[in-house]
This record gives sequence, C-alpha cells and structure tokens, in this order.
Amino acid sequence: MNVKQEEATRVRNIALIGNPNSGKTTVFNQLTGLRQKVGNYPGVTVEKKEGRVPLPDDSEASVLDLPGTYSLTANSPDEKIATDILLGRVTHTRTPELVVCVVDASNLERSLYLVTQIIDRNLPLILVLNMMDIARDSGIEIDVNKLQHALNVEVIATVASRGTGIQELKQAMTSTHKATGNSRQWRLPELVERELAELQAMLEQHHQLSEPLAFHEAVTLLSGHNGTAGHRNKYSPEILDHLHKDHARLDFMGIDRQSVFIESRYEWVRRVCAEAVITAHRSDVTFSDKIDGILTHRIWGFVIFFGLMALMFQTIFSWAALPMELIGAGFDWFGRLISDVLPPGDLQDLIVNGGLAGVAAVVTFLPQILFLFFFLGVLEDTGYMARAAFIMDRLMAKVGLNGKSFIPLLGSFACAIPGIMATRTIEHPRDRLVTMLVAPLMSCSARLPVYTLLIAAFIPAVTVFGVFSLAGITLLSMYLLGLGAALGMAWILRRTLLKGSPPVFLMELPPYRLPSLKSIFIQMWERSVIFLKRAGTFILGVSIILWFLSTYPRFEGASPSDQVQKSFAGQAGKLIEPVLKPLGFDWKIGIGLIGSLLQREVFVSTMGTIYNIQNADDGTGNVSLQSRMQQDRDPVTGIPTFTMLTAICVMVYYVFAMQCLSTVAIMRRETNGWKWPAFQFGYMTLLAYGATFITYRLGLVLGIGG
Amino acid sequence: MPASASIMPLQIPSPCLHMSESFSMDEVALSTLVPGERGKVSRISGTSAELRRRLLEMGLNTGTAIQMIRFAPFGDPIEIHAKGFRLSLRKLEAESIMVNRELR
Repeated sequence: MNVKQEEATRVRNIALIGNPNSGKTTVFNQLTGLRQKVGNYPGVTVEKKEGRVPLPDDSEASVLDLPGTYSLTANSPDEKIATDILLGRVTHTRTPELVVCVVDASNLERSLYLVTQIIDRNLPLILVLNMMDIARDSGIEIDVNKLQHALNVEVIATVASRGTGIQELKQAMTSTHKATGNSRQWRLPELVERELAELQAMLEQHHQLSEPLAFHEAVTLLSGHNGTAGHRNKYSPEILDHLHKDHARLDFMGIDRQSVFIESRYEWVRRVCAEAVITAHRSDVTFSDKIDGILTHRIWGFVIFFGLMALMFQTIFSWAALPMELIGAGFDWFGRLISDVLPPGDLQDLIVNGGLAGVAAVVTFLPQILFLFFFLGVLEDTGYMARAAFIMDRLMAKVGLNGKSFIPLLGSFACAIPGIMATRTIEHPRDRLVTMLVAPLMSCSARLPVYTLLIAAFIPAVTVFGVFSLAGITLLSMYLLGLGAALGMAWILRRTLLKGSPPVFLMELPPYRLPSLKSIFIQMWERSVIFLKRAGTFILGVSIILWFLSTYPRFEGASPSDQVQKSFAGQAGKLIEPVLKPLGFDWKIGIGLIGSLLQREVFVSTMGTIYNIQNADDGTGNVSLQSRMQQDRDPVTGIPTFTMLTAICVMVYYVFAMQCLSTVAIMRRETNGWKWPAFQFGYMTLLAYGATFITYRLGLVLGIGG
Repeated sequence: MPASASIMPLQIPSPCLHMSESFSMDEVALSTLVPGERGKVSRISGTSAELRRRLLEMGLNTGTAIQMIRFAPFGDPIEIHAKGFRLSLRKLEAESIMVNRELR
C-alpha cells in the first residue's frame, strides 16, 4: 500500500458534542446522511450513534454523536458517557482525535460553559456556531473572527437545518488541528488556584494520571459534590487526607466550593462574549413568544394540543390509504405470479398463503408507520414537544411524574423501545422506572395495524361533527385509552411500590424553528428499514410456522374451515377458548393472541394466514382480509366471528397487553434484571384481560353486541 | 501543602460578607415574581447540591438577570428567561432561587 492510499483509508475519529437543542443531531445528520449505525456502549445502556463522513480530500471520518449535555460534570448515565469518552475512559471507544462542539449561536453564553470544560480536556477542537439565522433574527450579531481569537479555537458558522456551512465544516475536518494546549484562560480565586494545583500534582504523581485527567479529577474532588466518601477506594490515603484539609480550609474562608468553579468559568465566558457578541436592541416579545402565548394558553393550549393529536391520527388514517392499497395490490400480483409459475400443492400454498400472506398483511402498514414518525419528528424538531411537556407538567405532577416523562410517553406512540430509551433524560432512577413501566401502555405503531384492520372492517364509515370520521375518532380513543391507562398506572405505582418525593422538573424551552426535513426523512428511513427487516425475518418465520400449524395434520375431504379448526393451531385456539370466552373471543382470535405474544402486528399476519388457508378453495382468492373477516360465520350457529363489539374488545385487549418481546428485552437491559419486565408483563396482561372483560359486558348491556 | 497552610491566617475570613447579602430589602424568591418582572439572582439555597449545581451550570449564577415570562396553564410550572434562553421549572424549585427584584 503506498502512502497516498494509506492516507485515503485512514479513518479519523471525531466526536460530536453539544448542549441539548443545539442542533447537534441535525449537524450529525447533515454530515453523515444515511451512513449511520446505532449501537450501545459496552456495559451501559446509552445509545451509541456513529456515522461515516466522506471528506472533501477523499478521506473518510468516523463521527460519534455524543449525548447532549450542558456540562461535563453531570451524573446522568447519558451525560457521564460524554465526559468519559472525552477523558478516554471508555473501553472499546478510542479517545477522539478531534472534537466538534456544536453551540447554539442565539444562546452563546450558556453554550460556552461546556466549551470551557472541553478546552480543559486539551483535545483538538472545532466550534460549530449553529443556528446563526435564529441568532440574527433575535438581534444577536457574533463576530466569528473575534470569537475564534478569544477562544483560540477554529469557529465555523452554520445553519445546519438548511445545510449552510456544512461544506466548510467538512473542509475544516480535513486539516489537522492542534490540541487546545495547556492554556487555561479562566482563572479561579488565588487560594483555590493554589489548592487545585497541589491536588492536581499529587494526582499526577500518586496515580499516574494524565494532565487533563488529573485536572478534571482535582476539580471534581475540590468542588466535592460527591463528598469524599465515594472516593475512598479510588485514591491514596495521602490524597484523601490532603483533600479533607483542603475542604476545611476553603470552607473556613467562606468559599462556596461548588459555585466557585462554575462562576469562574462563567466569568471568563462573559469576557469572551463581551468581546465577540454585538447584541443589538432585543425586542422583548420575540416571534417564539407570540406563538407561545397561544400554544401554552390555559384554554387554547389544550385545544390545540388535542386538536393536533386528532389531526395527526386522522391524517395517518386517510393519507396512508392509497399507498397501502398499492402495496396490497403489489403483493396480490406477486402471489398470482407465483401461483401461475408453481404447480398447485403444498409448496404453492406455503409460499402464497403462508409466507407471502403473512408478510403482506404487515408490510401494508408501512405507510402509516412512516406518517406517524413524520408527525412525531415534526413536533419534536419544531420545539412543540417541549411546550407539550410544559403544559402537561401539572397533569403529570398529579400522577407523581413530571413533564419530562411526557416526552418519552409521547414518543412511545411510535414505539416503546425509543420511548423507554428516551427516559434516560429523567434524572431520578425511581421516576425513570415508573415512566418505563407505563410507557408500553401508550399505543405504539405495532398496534396501529391491529387497530386499523379492525376499524376499517367493523367501524361504520360515518362522519361525526361534520369533520371527523368515526374511524378517526375510534383510533384516537384507543390512543387516549392507552394514555389514560399509563397515567393511571403511574399514579398507582407512585402510591404503592415506588413511593418517593416528587421529581424535579428542569427543562429548556427551545425557540421555535422550522424542522429539518432531511433529519426527519433519515429517521423515517431508519424506522422503515427496522420494520421491513422484522417483516422479512421474524414475521416471515412466524407466518410459515403458523401456516404449518394451521394446515397440518391434514384431513382428507375436510372443508377448508373444518381443516383449520382441526389443525394444530385450531386445537391450541380451542384449548384456550374457555379462557377467552368471557371476553367474547373465539378460537381464531385465540390463535391471533398466541401468535402475537412476541410481537403485536403478528395478529394481522396471523389473520391473513388463517383466512387465506380457510378460503383457499372457495373462489374468493382476491377478496381482502377485511371482507373475509366481515363475512366469517360460525359454521354451526351462523353467528359472525367478528362483530363491532368483538373488534372493539380485541383493540382494547391490544391497548393494554404487553405483547412485545423487544420491549421485554429492553426493559431487562435498562433495569438490569428480570424482576421489572416480569412485573410489567404480568400487570399489563391482567389489565388487558380485565379491561376487555368489562368492555365486552358493557357492550352486551348497551346492545352493541350484534 | 505547607504553603497554603501558612497563608491561611493572613486571609480575612469572609462568611460575614456572605451573610450581609441575604438581608437585602427586595430579595424575594423567584417564584413570587409576576410575569414580566425582572430580577437578579442573589443566591440559591435550600435545595439539593445536585439541583443547585445544575442550576448554576445552566447559568443561574449570582448576578444573572432573570425575567419571569409566564405560568403554565394551571399555575405551575413557570417559564423564565435568563442568559438568552427559556427555562421551565416548578414553583417548588423556584422558591430556592432568591432574586433581587428590579424595582419599577
């Protein structure tokens, strides 16, 4: 390999860091596009996002997107990982060769606090001054050259949501940067400086720590927010003894050890800002303020919130209809093609009615899932989610949670997995646990296929209040039922198993901004890849197994519906039928429930497989699953399998039941044991059974049983 | 170590200076400001060290100008403006942030 090639294949290791809401993820998406990989750091449950960036000099860089953080002294698992990576303390993750710090230009002073801490790490650094447009709009002018000079760091101005400045950033990433150097510019009061220098020198000597690491440890020890108790095993007795005296001396001098480090950094930041920022006259009422006046209004705020939710579910329903039909038609065409090519028999049956029917039933719902992620992405990116948390906090406080728990819960509408992972922004372990335990009650996108199949088939197409369809209202009701159940369960858990003081709520309200469509589309792409992978592997496998179970043992001369009933699956369904009878479910629904124990959307593919086998020979080959379910009658009594009430009952069951292997797995990982996932599975299944039973009985009394 | 020990007696102990600050006439809890009112942070006390550190690190240091923006629909939490950004926190926490109210 010659030198040139070696240069070209060398991958530089870059870490991306920044405050929450600084637009860091948008910068990451602009840099890497679809070349992203999501994993986990070894030993901890923090999501590790990495991506590849092609650079203008034909080399490539590997960019690590660190969790958003306000400081490098924080204690939450997310923030700690950022600190540890910059200190080179994480195994299997190399210390970055270059740090790119994204700061919000409209919020420079606070952002630079983190920058002072990064500079102390003595790593090569580029500062990305993002959201220059918002800063300008609110009357803030920043002299980039002066800022660069004052910080002694290269500064690139960007508007990442529009891609402005990204090319310059890539260019800057190619050139080598010197480490920020041993030139700490912020100063502590003389006495503290001296104590710090002594302690740092001792740490370097006694524990062979590198200079930046010793400095970091010395600051942590002196500011002493953990006390000295936690360090007993980590440091030599001399150091602990010295530290003890340091604390006593500083305390005696009336120095606030906690705030002195923070205020000294801010003191320097103020001087840098005074030099580089030209703040024109700021009007008191900004654009964001005017919107906020309405969106957080005591009446309009809630009207708009619920209106937006209704609109979201309504459009998911109507906009996705056409692409769903197209996908369905595509699979039908493919099935007919295979039927033409393959001779009739078990093989043809397996492929067309087993695998293909099952996968088709699920893949058809891809458009709805894409729309859901699109809406959630827009709400998040515009800054509306934070407002929703703001107006909802009081309600969340009532059930013993805080507004921050509301965001993971809202995110669980998409999927409980990212929802549960999003709880990592909740500082207190108990608050976090409660949120995780109730998050899967929020109706995730995997329930959407179940709901929409049943709604389309059994809820009459009526319009209510002139604008909303009954279908949309039903769908919204299911989501609200899940939300209500989640809040109710949180309330109960907070008063029984997980008592404790009310959680702290501290949340930044970012200014409103236009969402970056690129970021949203990248997220939609990632989700659809995951969804399709599952359809191609797990669901395909289950569909094939189910086909076997509902086709064998073979009975010669039995009618197709008799055949299904006498098959293994039919027998299993019959076996649990007595348990399901009180809920108004028959054995076919029973097969669906068992089949979807590991994954909810399998219910739909199960129905697809069963009804395809059952109706294989009756000449209705091309009829949709919906109408087959509508027409299905008990062969003996002639009573329909599904009525509107049964459909509602099945939906209610799915609102509550924990039918998701992945959620169990992530709960095990996040809580580090089987206790909580087992508890969660148990309470949710009981709740599902109870709620469905009540719904069924109530329905019969009200006479909607049919 | 002996160096710093030797200079200790030379310094004037300052706890008394800190005490005097807290007797300022218009010092009120942040939670008592009405929307639109401004003040400057004088101290944060009566809260956990962890929360205090987070508030300080977000820039609510002594002397930082704060404006009360609004209360959430049911009166809690509150939204404040400080150092060019908006922060929401509950009244309970805002009670531990003392500010010198700007007189109008």
